[in-house]
Amino acid sequence: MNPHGLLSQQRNRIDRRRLLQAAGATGLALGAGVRLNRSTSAQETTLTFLRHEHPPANALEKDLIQQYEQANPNIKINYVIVPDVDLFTKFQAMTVAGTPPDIVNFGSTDIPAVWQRGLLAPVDLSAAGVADLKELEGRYVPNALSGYVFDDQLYALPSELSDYVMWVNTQMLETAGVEAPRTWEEMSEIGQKLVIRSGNQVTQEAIALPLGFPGVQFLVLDAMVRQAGGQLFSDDGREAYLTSDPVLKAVSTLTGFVQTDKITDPALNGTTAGGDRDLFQNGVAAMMLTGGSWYRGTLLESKVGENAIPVPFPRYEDGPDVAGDLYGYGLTVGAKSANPAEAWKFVAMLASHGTDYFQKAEGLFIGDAETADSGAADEYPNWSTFQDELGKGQYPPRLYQFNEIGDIVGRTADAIIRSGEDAKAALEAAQSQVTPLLNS
Amino acid sequence: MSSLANAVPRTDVSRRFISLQRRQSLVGIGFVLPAVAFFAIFNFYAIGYALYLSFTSWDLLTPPRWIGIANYTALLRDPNFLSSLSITLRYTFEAVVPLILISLGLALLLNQRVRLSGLYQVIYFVPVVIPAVVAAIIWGLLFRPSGVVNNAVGVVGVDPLPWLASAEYALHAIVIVSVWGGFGYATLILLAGLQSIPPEYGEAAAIDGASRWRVVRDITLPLLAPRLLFVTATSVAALLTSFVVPFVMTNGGPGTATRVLPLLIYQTGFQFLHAGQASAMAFILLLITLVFTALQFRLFGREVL
Repeated sequence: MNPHGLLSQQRNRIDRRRLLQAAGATGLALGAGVRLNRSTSAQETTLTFLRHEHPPANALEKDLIQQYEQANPNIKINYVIVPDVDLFTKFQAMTVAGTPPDIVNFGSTDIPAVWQRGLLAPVDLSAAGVADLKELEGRYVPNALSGYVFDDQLYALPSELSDYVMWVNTQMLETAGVEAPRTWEEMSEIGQKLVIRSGNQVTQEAIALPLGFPGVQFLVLDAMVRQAGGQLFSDDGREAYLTSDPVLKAVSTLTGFVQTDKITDPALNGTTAGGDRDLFQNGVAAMMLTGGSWYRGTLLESKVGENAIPVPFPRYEDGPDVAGDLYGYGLTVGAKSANPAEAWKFVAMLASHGTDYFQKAEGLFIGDAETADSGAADEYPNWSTFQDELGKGQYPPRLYQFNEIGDIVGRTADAIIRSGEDAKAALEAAQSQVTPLLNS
Repeated sequence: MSSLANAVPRTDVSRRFISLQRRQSLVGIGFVLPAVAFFAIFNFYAIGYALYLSFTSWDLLTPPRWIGIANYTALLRDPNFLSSLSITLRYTFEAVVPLILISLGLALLLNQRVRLSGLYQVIYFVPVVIPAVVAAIIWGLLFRPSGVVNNAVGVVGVDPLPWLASAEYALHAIVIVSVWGGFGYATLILLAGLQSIPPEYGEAAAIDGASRWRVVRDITLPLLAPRLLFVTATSVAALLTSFVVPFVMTNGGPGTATRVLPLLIYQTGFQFLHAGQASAMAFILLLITLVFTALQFRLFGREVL
């Protein structure tokens, strides 16, 4: 064998040995580091909190989280913010990935679906500092918790309680010399005086309807059907009444605004959900039906500014005194959370800052009686309107398949109102589609 | 001594030769392995898992439950699914015909050696590189009652149309956007095909007295068949699976007037919590796409193959 070749082989062996030694040492070091990190993180509890985007509330919560972490050094809050429309999808993705969030700020219409699948933990009343549910209910305005009670147990603490009132542009009403309509019947008459046209085009409409926005359309329609003396669905969500006369009356009222009275032009709504709010904020519509107390903050930053006030949701002249539907968001803890006690403590902390939410997030009301009766509420313009309406509203029926049912109802309403489809036939078709989706 | 005595034995040469071949194979495998792994994980595994899910009832929140072919049989009776399928087929046909005709016409024009043809090609390709979401948002504004489109139709005396607010016009609006977004790519492909056809064929035909139309019909188009097949097949597949434009522009509305099948699949899986049913819809759409592709291959004849 060539001595040079032998030397070269030996060198290769030595180099390989050194390489292996280095790799082994690195592996040991990494392993030790990981173990060290694990032992450090074992003392620290991380709670993942998933919430929808609402800049004023998000800013407040970041401060509260910082204070909470300082007061509880072993707790770390992983604050995940997503656009509202993406929250449920994000929750699904995290659940499928095996990392469901500990705390989720669900919309009130999503909570029945999540509860029904056994994914929510009941509220830890001791973390909230109360002995029983009755005591906790006493801390909130009437009905605030009713949307989150299942089988006599509470599954969420409200992080927002709202109901739709009608917002009106005071400048436009003053220019037209009219007052805000109190009934749907008055709406037709007053609306005619608020519409401005340039040739064939509507440049100012009397009222912006929530078209192309199925979930919100459901809430508006639900309230109108109650005002007409009926219901879209039974309270337990087991029966549908889409072909009843009150539903036909409500749908016909809205259709009349578009097709007969022409006080609203669906073509102005644009292509995105929430087009009605955009129209009102941009001074194209004189009235709008889908804003709660939280909406004031949005308006102050828009073209309308201070020229908008909330007034009671219109009623039917001969109908019951029913306000817009209650809705909101609730802070929930996952049934699979590794730290439910810590999670509920954190949630209870957030729920104790109702007045801060109200003041710093421009009227974001979490439903607590303390804030409702406080000086902060007194300073909020027209707060009495919201308070009155909250007392006369109801949560929509707790449907386990709300998204799908709401989509069917909303699209059916859209087809009737916008495209002039036969209301009876469309509602019959919708009734047969929703029946298999009802609660069982 | 004979040189044969120093010759390397045949068996040693064979072993070295096989070893070299094998080494080269291994190197080749090494190079393609990352791409294969990528496709295996993100395509084949995903498709396989989706096929499995199509036989389950799954809400994305609790474990899937095997239900056999129930999803498929239910879809055949589901009015929403059948309606979306009908809308999808109508949308595809309405868009692909003008898309191919416009692309072919432009390619034939650009093949005439006009001045600044390079600049025209760039301009026609701009819609292709604009992200679909951006294009959909901008077109949504253009289709507003007081938007550019209504101003343009107003010039010829047509009253403003409720493009996106009307079940009658919304689908046409989406067709327009889709054709606008796709014609540039198809034009480029067809132009490349035209430029690969030897000009002598046309010249010879012209010498024999053939008109320009006869040359296009009997020489250019048959020779262009492979590119036409490619453009048509890919355009049909893209239109059948179009999601972004209908989602952004109308979200399937007004009512369900523009709810194409990909949009229904998304809503069924992620909003209505029926991921198993959504997977079944996706596979039916896949089958339809394959059938259409096969039909196109037959239509263009064996010459292409």
